[in-house]
Amino acid sequence: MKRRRSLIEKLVGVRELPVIVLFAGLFIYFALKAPNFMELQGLLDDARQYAPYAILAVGLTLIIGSGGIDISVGSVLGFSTVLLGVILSRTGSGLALAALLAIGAGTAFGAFNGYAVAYLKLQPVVVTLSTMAAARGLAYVIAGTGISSIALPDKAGWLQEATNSTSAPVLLAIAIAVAGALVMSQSALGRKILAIGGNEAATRFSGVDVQRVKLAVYAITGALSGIAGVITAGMFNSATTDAGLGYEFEAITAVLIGGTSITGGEATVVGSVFGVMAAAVLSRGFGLMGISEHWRMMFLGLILITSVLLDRVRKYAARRSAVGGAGL
Amino acid sequence: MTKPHKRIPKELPTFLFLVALCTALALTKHSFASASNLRTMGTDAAAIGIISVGMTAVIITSGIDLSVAAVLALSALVGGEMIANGHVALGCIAALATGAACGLLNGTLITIGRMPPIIATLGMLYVLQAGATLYSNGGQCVILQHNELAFLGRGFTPLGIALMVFAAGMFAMKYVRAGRYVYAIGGNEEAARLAGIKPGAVKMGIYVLSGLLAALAGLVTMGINSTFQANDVVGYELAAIAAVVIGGTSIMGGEGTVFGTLIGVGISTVLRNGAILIGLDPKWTQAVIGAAILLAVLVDRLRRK
Repeated sequence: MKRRRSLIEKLVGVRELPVIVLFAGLFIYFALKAPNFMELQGLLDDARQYAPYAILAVGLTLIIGSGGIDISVGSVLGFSTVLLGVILSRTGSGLALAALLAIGAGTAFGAFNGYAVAYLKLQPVVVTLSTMAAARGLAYVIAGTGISSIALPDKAGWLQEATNSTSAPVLLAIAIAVAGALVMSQSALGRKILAIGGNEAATRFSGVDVQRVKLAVYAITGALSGIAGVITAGMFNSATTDAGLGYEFEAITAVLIGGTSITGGEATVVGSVFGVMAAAVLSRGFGLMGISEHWRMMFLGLILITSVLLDRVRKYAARRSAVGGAGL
Repeated sequence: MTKPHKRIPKELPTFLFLVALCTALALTKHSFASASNLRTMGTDAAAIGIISVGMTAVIITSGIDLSVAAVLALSALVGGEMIANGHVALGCIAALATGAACGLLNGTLITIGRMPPIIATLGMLYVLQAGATLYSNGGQCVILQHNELAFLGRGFTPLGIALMVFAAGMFAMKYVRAGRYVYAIGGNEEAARLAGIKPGAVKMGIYVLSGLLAALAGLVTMGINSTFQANDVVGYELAAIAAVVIGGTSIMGGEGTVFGTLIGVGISTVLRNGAILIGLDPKWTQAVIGAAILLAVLVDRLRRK
């Protein structure tokens, strides 16, 4: 007979538990130790800074959940940012059209990744490595020789206002995260993504159009990178060719700290968002305490390694208890 | 395996591409084939070339090492400080030991911790890059006043060292037992284990080797520039991976050659150099290298069909 699981066992089974504990622990620690940590305006400012990371992390959760990876998100973000700047400063186009084109370009890069992975059956790491180089290179190219930053003209004033003086980026990130979480837990697409990540061949045999699902997750992530790119341009009030540089590593780290398995099949958008929030709290806390940014990076690396090792231990324990439950 | 000598070598298309690229540049730009330009290219390619030999072996075991550039930076800084204080031999040994230790840590996480290589080395990338910056008091330059390492960085020496590492790598992967084991593990780890190979030990060795080569590349880089800063080599890991992939090594493991990687390094170096020579914005090269990676994997797929 199956033993009833105690509350503790149930809690340990929650994928997001480690990251929530991490986030809460860091938050409480810094609230007590770091001067002015709880100042509301500062918290909101930092939340806004991290909104683009959270948006990227939502897309990456879908991709990693499907057993793939995308290291091009930072470069695609950069390309969208620069494209927005170029269109606004060198054509008569208005803000809405420029933003639409920037997001469209991000989607196109994502769809290209998805097509190469799903239909040409190329390895996600290699495909997105090539897109990473190509998107960054094209961003330099469309910016023009010697130009590393394009100031946004006055007609982008609304974007600058919305991204710097309101919590719009945070609200948008939350909306995207909620949508992502609903897709993963409630929709057929979410179940298909996890099924593919768990066992691709079996999913195909059960009649799922695996290729289309893969194309969709990469395209969605591309679109999200484009949105994050538009926000980034607004926040800096300029389009820099280095925008998004290295964001892919931070976003992937947040997703993995959050409890999504790198081998696919298990994913949690909520965990990823907590992962981004933990990184943000760390940044704010260390910043206020005057501790170097580099300590934060080192800490993040150690958390990443520890959380994956913990995940392995958890799986090992789960397997042992499963064997025990079967009466062996 | 019938008549393997009759098969077209896998590297042929990329090799021909490199030859065509060089010929076209040599014909249109006389300065391309000049001794000084060849030296420039050799110096440019040396560090990435050296680390990409280790990367080739790592990728053939179906692993990846995202931490090499950070290992390079940390070991160069650790060794560089001693060398700047006059202890040249000790500094070189310390650099190599640091590289090996980082590799050992990577190998331990991957084989004993059973972590996916991409995550273990991503975590290490953070830890070591931050470590390198903190070690140098927030990213300060190590300056070799008299450049005690000039013997590694003068003239064609960096290129010579890189070519020697490539030659050793080609020999080892073909004729040394451990080199054959690398292919066996990448092809089918379980089968290799059943055949009596210890995959853990071989992988550990490969990551240590990758760390050692990163340290060597660090010493060569310091010899060339006579200074070193923690973020001098950020992104080298991706350049090395790109060279390996362009060279035809499968990211799935089990397949690939060090010679192919040499061609891959050659292509990206010549592309970068050629763009500058013909007056093209060098920024184009990154877009072109992205396309080259994709082309290489596509050709590889078609070849297999």
